[in-house]
Amino acid sequence: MSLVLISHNPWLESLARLAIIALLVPVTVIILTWVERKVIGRLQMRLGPMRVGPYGTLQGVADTIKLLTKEDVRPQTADRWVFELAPFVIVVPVFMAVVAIPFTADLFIKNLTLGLFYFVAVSGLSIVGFVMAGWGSDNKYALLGGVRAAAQLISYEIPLVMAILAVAMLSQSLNLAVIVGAQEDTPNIAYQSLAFIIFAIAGLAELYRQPFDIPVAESEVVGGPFVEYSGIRWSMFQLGEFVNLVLISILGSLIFLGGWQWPWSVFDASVPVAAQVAMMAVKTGTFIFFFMWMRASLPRLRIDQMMSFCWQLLLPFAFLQIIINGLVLVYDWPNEILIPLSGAAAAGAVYLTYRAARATGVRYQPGYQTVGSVL
Amino acid sequence: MLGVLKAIQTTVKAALRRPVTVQYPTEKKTLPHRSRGLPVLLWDFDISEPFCTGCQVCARYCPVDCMTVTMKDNPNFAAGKSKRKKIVDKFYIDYARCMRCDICVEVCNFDAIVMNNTWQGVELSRYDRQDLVMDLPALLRQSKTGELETPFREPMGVAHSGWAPKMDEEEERAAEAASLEKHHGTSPDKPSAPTPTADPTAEVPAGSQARTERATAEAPESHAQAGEGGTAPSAGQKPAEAGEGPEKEGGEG
Repeated sequence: MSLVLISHNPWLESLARLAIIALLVPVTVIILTWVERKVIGRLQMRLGPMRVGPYGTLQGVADTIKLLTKEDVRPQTADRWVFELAPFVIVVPVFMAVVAIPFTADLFIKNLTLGLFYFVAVSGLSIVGFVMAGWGSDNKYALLGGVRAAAQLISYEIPLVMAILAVAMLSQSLNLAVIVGAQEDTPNIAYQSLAFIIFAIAGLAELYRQPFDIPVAESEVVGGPFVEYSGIRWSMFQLGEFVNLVLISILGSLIFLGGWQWPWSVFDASVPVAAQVAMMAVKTGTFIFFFMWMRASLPRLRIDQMMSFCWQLLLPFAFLQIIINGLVLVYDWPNEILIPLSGAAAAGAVYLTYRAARATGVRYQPGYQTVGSVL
Repeated sequence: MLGVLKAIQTTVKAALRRPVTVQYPTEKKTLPHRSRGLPVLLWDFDISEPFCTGCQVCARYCPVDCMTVTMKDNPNFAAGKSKRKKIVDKFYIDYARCMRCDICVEVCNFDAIVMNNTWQGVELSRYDRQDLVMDLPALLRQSKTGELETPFREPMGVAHSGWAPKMDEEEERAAEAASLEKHHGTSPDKPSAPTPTADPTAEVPAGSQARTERATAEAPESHAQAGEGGTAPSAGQKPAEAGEGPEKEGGEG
């Protein structure tokens, strides 16, 4: 009865869909905090949380309760409205981006024709939240962190968008469902390996996770923009961070790994929804695990390394990928030619990074001078 | 760049190994035998009374004055069950004050006190500092219940003290030899067959018998060593033992 009512009223229906998102996303985040602590623990020969519930499974719930019941402190000298609204400015765009993400061919909140464009536009908004938090806290570390966040997120937004754009060129669409549908035979990672590498690195930087945690570096700016936040506002930042992690992972698996498509056409005609969801979960989980793995493995970059890597390497190579795609499209070459071209460009990018890293290693030897750039 | 690959390899290797974490309160590492917790008293199972006679030598030597001991007449002695004329009446150790220096164990003439080498000698959190003052039942509890399975003493090793009565003769001799070798650097010759078949001295404790046999076997050797100005630290000790040995042998014959 009520279901019928909902399905006949577009307003009620969209409200129901949004309610599902609003309930599902925090639960995912709670689970993900536990998973992250477990994974990083194992990568460091520890056990991770073990006490709350069997194998610590209720740790996320306990943390949530603790965070929600903590006092919400605001510094006396803080800019009141800027300080208190900053978490919302970070969380709301993140939830808005979830709206446009298709989870399977039929399971989505809203399938936008310009879904990819909408996603990029909305997720870029969260920079404002960081700057607001940094400015409103009236704390020099918060301000430094906010400025760093702005610099980093804006810089890495460009190669990220360029990598996404390369895929959109190839698929001739900005509709995420269409992009996934075009990867039925071969996922885009084969054609666009350079774009994929750029997307993975820039996505990692967008999430300001290690090794790109320069804005929130604990040992440099004591948590950056979050330094004055506590309780529920701080947990909103955390929520935004983890939802962003899931979003970038889902986006990566949609546009590069073929989304809910099964490889080698395991199912002949129609894939059951459960199998599609499982495929999405596997691909997204791979991405999330990659991000956690990098976090456990790599130390933090210096800010100049981070910047020059973006502007001197990622961005030119992102343009290179777009030029290659353009040539292939203009002259109507077969898509297969993209595999060696993009692969060679990726190898070139890796080689340049390798050479630059070696050059920095000998920079300070006496009698040896290099130009002040990483590359 | 290659460092990145190396870092990734390192984390994978670490993930494939077993975690090093021990879930401490539920799962404990075995403490080393020499672990030195806080001092506890030992229980003489043969007579069912503490080894401690309340002689207060530990209290007098204690550098931080954490002990209080009083002595009383032993009722078991009056009943003829025990050789101890006096026995401990009250014994208090303030664990909050003890610094685990081991001096009480070294000076005790009756091997009545040892350093706790179980986890209970370490896990001592209390809500009230007053609860860290242990009385006689608390100090004897672990020895009495058998939780203190192998209390550890320096320097003579296991065969030296009276609280290891459960060993049979062979084991005791082996332990004694091992201890002697460890602490004095000599390896006693083991006689292939024990000499006496019908031994009138079988009543004496096994340890002293072993010592007698060894002294007999070694006697000429150690005399020679002493004559040369022997290097072994036990050079002064051995002739005395050797002198004691033949007497008992003579008693047999």
